[in-house]
Amino acid sequence: MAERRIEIVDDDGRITMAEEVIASIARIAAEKVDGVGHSSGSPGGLMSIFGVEDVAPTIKTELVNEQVRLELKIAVEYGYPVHAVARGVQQNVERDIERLVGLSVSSVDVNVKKVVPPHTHDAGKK
Amino acid sequence: MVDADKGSVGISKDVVTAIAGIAVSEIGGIANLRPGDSVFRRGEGMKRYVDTTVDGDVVTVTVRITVVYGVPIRKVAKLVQARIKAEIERMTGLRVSAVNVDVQRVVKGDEQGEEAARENTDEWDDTGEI
Repeated sequence: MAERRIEIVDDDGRITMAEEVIASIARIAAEKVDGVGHSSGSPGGLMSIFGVEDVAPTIKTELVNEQVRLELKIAVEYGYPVHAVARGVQQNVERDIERLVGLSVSSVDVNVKKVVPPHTHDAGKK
Repeated sequence: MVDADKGSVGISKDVVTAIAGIAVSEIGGIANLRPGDSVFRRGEGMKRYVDTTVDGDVVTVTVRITVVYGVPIRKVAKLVQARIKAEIERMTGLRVSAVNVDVQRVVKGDEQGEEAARENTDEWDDTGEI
């Protein structure tokens, strides 16, 4: 992915932000919704190198006129209502991008790509 | 200003860089440049995160930060600018013309990090909307 940067200039200097920052926030926000498939480890970690499918959301971002358009592919855990989960993702992502990044969100498209077994909370995590 | 009649005082660029790094370490919600990081002991490593140019009495600083998920990024960036400028000017008497902040990554905080981020919420609010 090209290292694009979002830039804000003010009196005190320049504030820049990697576009990847938006994707990271969207990923964390999406994973906070109950029923969304979680990453099996660190992104690009051993699991993905060995070809074990990672069910973490994948995210595309596009910045047009200070507005962000996002496209997420998610896995939903078996047993959760898919539409409700997808709506929850849209709401969480929009809220976090606006609150944390300070950019407005024009749309959040959610594609549900698969259903996975319910998340088992790893011991020690959370 | 630095020339007293009994000799001169020089301030090396590394000192300015270190002040900037330490100023950042005092701000919550930032995942790199934490107090106790090895960069503060070795000194050298600080340049990974902080670039400084000193031209006469004028300093510009560029700092690269990783932010903890949950903090409003522009506000933390503004705070970084303000703290670095204030600390360098207070300690060295040099003038800071610009502090550039590059937010490179966001990480999910451990509980401590998120707590620190929340504790600092008042501070973010004080810096005002951008």
